[in-house]
Amino acid sequence: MTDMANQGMRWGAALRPLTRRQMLVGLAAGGIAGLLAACRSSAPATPATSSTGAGSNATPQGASAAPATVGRATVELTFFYPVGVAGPLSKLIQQLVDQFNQSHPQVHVTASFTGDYTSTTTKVLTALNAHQPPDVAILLSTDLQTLLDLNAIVPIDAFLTQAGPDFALDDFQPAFLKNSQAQGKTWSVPFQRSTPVLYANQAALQAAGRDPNALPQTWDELVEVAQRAMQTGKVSWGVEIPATGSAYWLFQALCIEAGHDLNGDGPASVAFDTAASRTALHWMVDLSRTMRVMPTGAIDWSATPTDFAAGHVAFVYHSTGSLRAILNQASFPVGVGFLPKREQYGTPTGGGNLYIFREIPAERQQAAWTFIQWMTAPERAAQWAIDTGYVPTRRSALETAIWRDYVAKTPQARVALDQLAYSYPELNGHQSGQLQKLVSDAVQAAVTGQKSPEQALADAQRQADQILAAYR
Amino acid sequence: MSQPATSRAPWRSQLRQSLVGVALVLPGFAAIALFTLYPLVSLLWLSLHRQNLAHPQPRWAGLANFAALAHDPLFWQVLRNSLCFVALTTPAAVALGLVFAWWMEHARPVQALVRFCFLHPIVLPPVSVASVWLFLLTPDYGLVSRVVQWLGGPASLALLRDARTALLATALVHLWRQAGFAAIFWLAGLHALDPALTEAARLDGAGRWALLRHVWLPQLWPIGVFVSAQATLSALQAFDMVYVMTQGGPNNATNLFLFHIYETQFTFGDVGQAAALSVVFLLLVLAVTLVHVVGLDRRGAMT
Repeated sequence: MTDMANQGMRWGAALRPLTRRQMLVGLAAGGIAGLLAACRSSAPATPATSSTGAGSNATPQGASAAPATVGRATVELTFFYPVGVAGPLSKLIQQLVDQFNQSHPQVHVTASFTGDYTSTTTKVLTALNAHQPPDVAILLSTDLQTLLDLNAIVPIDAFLTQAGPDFALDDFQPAFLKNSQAQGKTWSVPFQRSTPVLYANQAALQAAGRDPNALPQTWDELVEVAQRAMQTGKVSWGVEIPATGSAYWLFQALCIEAGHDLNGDGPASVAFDTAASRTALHWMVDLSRTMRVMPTGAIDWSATPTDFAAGHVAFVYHSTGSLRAILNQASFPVGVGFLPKREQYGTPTGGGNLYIFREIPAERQQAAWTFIQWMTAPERAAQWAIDTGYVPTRRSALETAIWRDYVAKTPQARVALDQLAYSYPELNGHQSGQLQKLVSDAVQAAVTGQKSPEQALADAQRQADQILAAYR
Repeated sequence: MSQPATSRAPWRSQLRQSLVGVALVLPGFAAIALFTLYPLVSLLWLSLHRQNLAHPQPRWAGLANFAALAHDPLFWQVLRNSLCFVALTTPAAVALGLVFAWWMEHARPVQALVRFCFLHPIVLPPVSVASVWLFLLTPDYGLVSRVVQWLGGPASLALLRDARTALLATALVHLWRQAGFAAIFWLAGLHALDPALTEAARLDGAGRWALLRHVWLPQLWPIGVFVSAQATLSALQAFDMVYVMTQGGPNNATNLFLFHIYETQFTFGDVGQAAALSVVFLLLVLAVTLVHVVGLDRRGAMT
């Protein structure tokens, strides 16, 4: 002990006090400077010299400025995006962003893959807490109310006025715009929008003695064909409706088909416990327990396209956004159809919109708008739909040559588009994330046999009312 | 304290020395204050306030957040899940760790292979481990399912889809990692056994059992306490497994304490409630640690 103390003293004496103090001060200063730098990293360090107002046809400026390396500061944008469906979508987004960066020298977008929709919302909420939001992000169209409650985003009306006829909002599908509008303003631009569709293994249909192009139109027909397909031994299971991930979304489709939507009147009410929802949940449970065409338990959302493409199941309910991946992976002909009806056809829309955040400098908001305009241009909307399976967000995209060619070759891609005629907005409202989890939990509780459908739905409604009481 | 050679004014030099001491401690203290004390105090402060998406500005709420927890069935379910997770993994990890360590020590010809088998789960990133197991546990055609079918088990084994087996499945994956980790410490303990004591006991005619009970276990006791504490805390803090494999489902069957805190705070934006949950979690961890500290003290009584 004393030896060590002495040693320390000697080492200490070897350093002259001044040096030691300097060293400490230096260390402290370095540390603090580092911290400050970290805290301030999002503040714009560049003088406001950029003029990105020219919008999507800003290339001449960039070309003329290219030889001169001085001046023209770049506006740096951070872009958060999720991938919610099957397939290598993050590569595609990165390619789009690279193209944008090349054609827009004044703006540099850094794309940041942030997991699925839930984790993307999570990351944005966390960033908002720290007052460092991304500049632009793709979030669920249903996150609108939450983002409004947090005063996190800016309306795009001013940009729309400024863009004039170059960017006509009424060109976008009205079914998708429903989730963009609130308080008399428009807050987001539809980007990767979808509906769930029915995927069918046509080889299994043929084996079961059905016309492979005549997909089941009703719930009962679906069960009948599924049973027959299972009897042929060609597939292990008849149908899979996932109960994790976006479980509430598929369940909402069943509820609409049975006659009543899950959304209530306005953002502070929901209709979880109705005759229609009980019918829907009973059917989901019966599919596995009494009709035995579906595996028991909570079927995994992300494993479902794989199960289908591997030929294990005759029918699956999944997002149309998974179409490209399923077509690429399946070794059998794939049929796509409307979700079968009970009382009526019905589906929620789904997917993500582009939002611009409030707590960033005006020039970055402007640059973000340039980026959004570019990302949602008709040609690109068509290409994105072709590459993924998402529904083209605007009508002019349907007129493009690439889309016409594509649909001629891949008629499956039209189904979700046609289904929009029967669509409702996805379950939304205040605390939409929590509301959606309540529905997913209720579905899981019922399909795993922990609660009766009645009990599960009544519990969900009661808990939702407790949460929404704060907003009434 | 040694006196400097030139002692003009002893108090000045002493003051200077203690200032140097303070200055040396300061960076460390600043780091602790910034990254431990400040978050702790602010956590306590937040737990006494209401702050969520409906009320973005924090407002004094007294113990309302804690009262809400007491009335929340999900909180009790999550607590039960976490304690079950500890019960399923900790004793098994401690016991298996000792067995593995013994095996590693005595599997002479294939020692390297055995070591590799038991230790490689630890060096793999937990998220990869969870992803790989998610793949292995795929119903119908996953490896585990196939092996079970081949052994004559049920045609469709869906451990993660079933609310009754999902927690068990995640616990087994956690155990798969944790047992190897425990084995490292047990191995160190085995190496530290005093051969003189063993030899003396043998000379006195001690059999294998007596040797284990009265000579080896008392020496291994502190290691055991440490391994048990480490395993308990790591089970309480399990997060990556459920995040990757189940997201807390089905119907919260695998919703563990830390995942629930995470979801409450970050997904649902309920800051006050999440802070209250964290305070409860802190107390839980503190209690576990205290039990083990007491266990460490009992060592004297055993020898």
